[in-house]
Amino acid sequence: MRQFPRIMLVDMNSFFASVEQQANPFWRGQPLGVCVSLHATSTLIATSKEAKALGIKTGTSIYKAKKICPEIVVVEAEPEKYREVNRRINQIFGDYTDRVESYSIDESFLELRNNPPQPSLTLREGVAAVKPPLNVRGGRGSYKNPLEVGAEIKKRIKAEVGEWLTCSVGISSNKFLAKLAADMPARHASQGEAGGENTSDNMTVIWREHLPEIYRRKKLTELWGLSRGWAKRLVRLGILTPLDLMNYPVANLIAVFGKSGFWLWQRVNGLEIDKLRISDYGLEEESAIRNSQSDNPKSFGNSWVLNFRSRDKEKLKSVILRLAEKAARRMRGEGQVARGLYLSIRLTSGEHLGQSKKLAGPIETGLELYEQVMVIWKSWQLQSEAMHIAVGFTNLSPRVNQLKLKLNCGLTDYGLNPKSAIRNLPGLGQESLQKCLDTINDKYGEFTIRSGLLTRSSDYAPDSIAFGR
Amino acid sequence: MLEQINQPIEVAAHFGLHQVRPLKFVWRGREYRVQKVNLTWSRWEGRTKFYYFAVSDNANYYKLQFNSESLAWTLLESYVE
Repeated sequence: MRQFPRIMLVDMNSFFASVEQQANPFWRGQPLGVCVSLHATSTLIATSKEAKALGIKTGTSIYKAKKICPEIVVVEAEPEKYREVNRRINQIFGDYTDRVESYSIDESFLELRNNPPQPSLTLREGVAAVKPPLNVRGGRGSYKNPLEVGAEIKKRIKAEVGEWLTCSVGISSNKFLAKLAADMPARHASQGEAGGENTSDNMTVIWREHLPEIYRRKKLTELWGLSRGWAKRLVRLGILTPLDLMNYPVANLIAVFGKSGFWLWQRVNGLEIDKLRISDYGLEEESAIRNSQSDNPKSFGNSWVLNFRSRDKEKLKSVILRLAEKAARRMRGEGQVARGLYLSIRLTSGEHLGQSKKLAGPIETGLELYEQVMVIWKSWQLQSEAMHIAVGFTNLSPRVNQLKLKLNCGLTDYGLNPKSAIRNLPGLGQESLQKCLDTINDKYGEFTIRSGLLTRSSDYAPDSIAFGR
Repeated sequence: MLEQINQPIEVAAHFGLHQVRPLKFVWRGREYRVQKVNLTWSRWEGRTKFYYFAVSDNANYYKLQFNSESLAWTLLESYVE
């Protein structure tokens, strides 16, 4: 019997906007945008499908969106709401496989076994009966192929999480093609029509033997992770379409692009290359896989479109520290340390100040990043009010458990107490303390325990949700 | 139109085995029956866990908050078309 491909991407459609429409049924069917702050220059971080149909996309400013559609509903983002919905959806995935990668807040990859355990969902008059909890490793019931699993997941998200929530499901032999499948309109795949249709609420399987036909209708830049820069380099080799890329001799790609060329060729050909980064289960396996992953993050940063405008550098400093702490938590969660950093700020005048820097030794805490960027910060004069700040770590490498040399970088304490306990603990003590702080914040929420400098900063930089990984 | 309320309310709720469901609430002396719980979520603030309920009747949407430390209910916002 022909085996179905096993990698599935579940991509929630217009996620933040749909969750808002789920919460308030009177917003359903209306153009709606979600933003971090209601300032007219703020950009929409998500738009409903009704807004998209009017050309109001993610990234459009509120001002511009209202020009296109004065009736558009604009709501402030509520990250906890989205996290909760994401958590519940992930629980559903757990009934089908223990190999789930939460790629982002609205996208998850599932690796389905050849004989997945089945949930015992029954539908009566369109209402889902409560299912008994399943042991995901136990398994029972008859085998369902990935298409049936995908259809069931869609149904269960509506029944158990919210009836307004829809998702696109892509199934193929690797993550790259599963993403391509999820982004394809249903008619495109089945009837061979050109793209451009609505892709929401669809489900598509891409079989490797159909790749030539699919690639014939695609542009290079429509492939996941293939930037315009990459496309230009490929065009120089005479590779004009995804089909050309698929059929290009792999040895030539390796000769020109090295390992990246090999990985690209493998992805495009549907060969397994990108292992899943398992989110909740099998963490030991995860770290082993990730050491050989080709797509490790190159930087960890957080940025913020300010919900106020200010030239007050003291006030802005606490925003920087808050962003630095958030970036540091994410980086530590990925087991990385940094030997570089960047700070950038955009002013209302349109001016942009930015600087990056390499460091002599590794850093991994928000406080360390803050201290380092303060050296840059001190030299800057703000001619007009700040509207956007970004700060982050670069030059990443995996964290190794060895004693760290205490480097005296000649830093002064920019608002930090030089005698504070956290700064003067011996090396290992600091690491243990950091771990304890992370554990507390993991359990009780971001910034439950924090630097005293951040006491009032939630007014300036409230909770937000990351788009990427 | 969405209106921020942020006022204490009295709530009759069903505390089931795995879920809490507000059934009706009294605000400014008037009783409102919850017809549908559209979404629930929660948030920690220090050691206090807050539960949120996005509920609606035929004409309005309300956001209710339950403070698990003080056991107090608050009507945070309402929406009337």
